[in-house]
Amino acid sequence: MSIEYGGDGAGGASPQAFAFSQDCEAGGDYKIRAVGVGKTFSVRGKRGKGVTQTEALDGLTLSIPRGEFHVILGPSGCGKSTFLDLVAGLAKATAGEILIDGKPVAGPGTDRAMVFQQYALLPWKTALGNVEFALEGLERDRRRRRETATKYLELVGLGEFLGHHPFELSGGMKQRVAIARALAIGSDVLLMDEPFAAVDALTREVLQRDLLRIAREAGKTVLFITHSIDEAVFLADRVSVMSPRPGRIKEIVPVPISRGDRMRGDVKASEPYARVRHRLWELMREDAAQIAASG
Amino acid sequence: MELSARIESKISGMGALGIPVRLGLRFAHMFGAIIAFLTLWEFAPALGLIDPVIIPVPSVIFDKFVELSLNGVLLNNVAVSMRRVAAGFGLAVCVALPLGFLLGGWFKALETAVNPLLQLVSQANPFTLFPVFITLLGIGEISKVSIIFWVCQWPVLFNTVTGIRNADPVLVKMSRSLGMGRFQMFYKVMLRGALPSVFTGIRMSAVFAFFMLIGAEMIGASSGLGYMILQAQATFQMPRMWVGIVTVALLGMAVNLAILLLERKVSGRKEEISI
Repeated sequence: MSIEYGGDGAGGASPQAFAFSQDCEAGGDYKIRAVGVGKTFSVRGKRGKGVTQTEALDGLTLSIPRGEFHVILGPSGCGKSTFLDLVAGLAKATAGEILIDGKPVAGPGTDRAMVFQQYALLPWKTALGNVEFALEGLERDRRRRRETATKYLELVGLGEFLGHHPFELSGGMKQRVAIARALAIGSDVLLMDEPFAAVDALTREVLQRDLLRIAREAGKTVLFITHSIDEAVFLADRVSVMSPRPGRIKEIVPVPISRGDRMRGDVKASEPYARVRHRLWELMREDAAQIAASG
Repeated sequence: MELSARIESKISGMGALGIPVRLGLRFAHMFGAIIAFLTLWEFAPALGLIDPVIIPVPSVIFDKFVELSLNGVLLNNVAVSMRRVAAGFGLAVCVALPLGFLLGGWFKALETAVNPLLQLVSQANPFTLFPVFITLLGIGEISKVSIIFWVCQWPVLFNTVTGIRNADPVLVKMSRSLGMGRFQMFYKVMLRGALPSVFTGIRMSAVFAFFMLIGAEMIGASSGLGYMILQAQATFQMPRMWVGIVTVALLGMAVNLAILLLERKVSGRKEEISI
C-alpha cells in the first residue's frame, strides 16, 4: 500500500505537500476519488454584520479502490462529516471534485447509501416500513419491495422485529435497521457517518463485526467516519487521519491485518493491531496538542 | 396511563381474583372520581352545602335532560349549535391547514415576514371583536360562523407551521440522500412528521370553537345551546340551564374524543411517555 498526502493549502509549506501517491497518478480502479476538494462555509456575523469564511476542507485528495473498507479518523470538527456529505452529494464542494466510478458527483443518488449516527428512522414506520421507504423510488412493485426489505432485515438479524417501531427497538437494533435500509438500496458504496457512536461498547463490537462480515460478503466499498482509534483499526483496510482547520488528509495508514484474523477474538492483542493503533494515536495526538495550543 | 398500568399490573398480580372483580376495579379506577363527585353533589343540599334552587342536584338535572331530549327541544338546539361549530371549525381547518403547510414548508421567508403580524392579530381577544363582526356581517348565522372560524384558524395555522418547521433535519437529510424529490419529501416526511403538532392545533381549535359558539349565541341568537342557557337563566328555569351547561361540556368531550380517535387512526401506534 502506498502512502499519500493531501495537497497543501495556498500558503502551505509542508514538505509532504503534493506528494501524491503513484497509484493516484496512474488512475487505477478507484470507486471513490476526491481531487483537491475544498469546502468553505460563509457564516454571517452577529447582527448581520460581515461574513466570516470558514474553511472546513482544503485540498483534500483521496482515492479509495473498489471493495476497500476505508475509515476516516479525526477529532470532532475536523470536517470529516462535511467530506462525507460532499461524497453523498448532499452539499457541493467549493473547490475540486469528487468522482464515483470516474463520474463527478452531481447530487444525491442511490448509487451511494448513507448510514447516520442518529439512525434517521421514520418514527411512524415499522422496521419493515423504514426499509421499504428507501426502496419506493427504486422498485415499483409493492410485493417485491417487501421481499427485499424482509431479506435485508433478516440479514442484519432482525427477522423477528419486522413489525416493531423504532421506539420499540434498542439503539443497536435501530442502527441495524438503518444498515439494512442502506444495504437494501443495493448500491456499491456505503457511506457511514459515525454510525456506532451512540450505542454502548458491547453492542458496538457486535455491530462492527457484523458490518465487517456483511460489507465483505457483499463486496461493498465503505467510507466510514469515526473519531475512535480502536474502531478505525478494527474495521479499516486503510485509515485516513484527518487534521482540522482546514480539514485535510494528514496521513493514510494501512492496516496489515487479514480479514480472517480480524474475526478472531485476540486480534486486538496482536502485534500489528497494537502497532497501527499506536501510529494513529501519535498522529491524533499531534493535532490535539495543536488544537490545545491554538486555543 | 402510567398509573393505570401500575394499578393494572397490581390487579393482575392478584391472580386469584376473578375477571368480574378486575373489571369492577378497573371501572372504579376510571370513573370513581366522577361517581364520588356526583354523589357528593346529590347529597350536598341535605347537608346544607348548596341551595338546590340555584344548583339543582344531578338527579333533577338528569330528569330534565331526559324530558328535553324526548320533546326535541334539546336536540333542536344541539343541532343548531353543532351546525355552527361544524361550519366555523371546518372552514378554519380547511383554510388554516393548507396555509400552514405552505407557510411552513414552501414560503419560509414570507412566514418569517408575516409571523409577527399574525401573532399580533391572533392575540386580539375574540370577544372584543364581536361588535366588529356584528357591524360588518349583522347578527345572522354568518357572523357567528365567522367568529368561530376566526378563533379556530390560529391554533391550526401556528401548530401546522411549527410542526413542519420542526421536521427532524436528519430525516430530511436521509430522504435527500435517497435522491427523493422536494415534493415527495415534503409529503412523505415533513407532513407526516408534522401530524402530531397538527392534531394538537386541531384539538385546541375544537375547544375554542365551543367557547366562541356559546359566546356568540349568548350575545345575539334566537336558537342554540348558548341561547337556551341564557334564556333559562333569565326565566329562572335552573334545571333547564344546567342541562344546557352539561350538554355543552359533554359535546366538547365527545368532539375531543372523536379527534383523538381520528389521530390514533391516522398516526398509528405511539410511544407512551411516563414521567
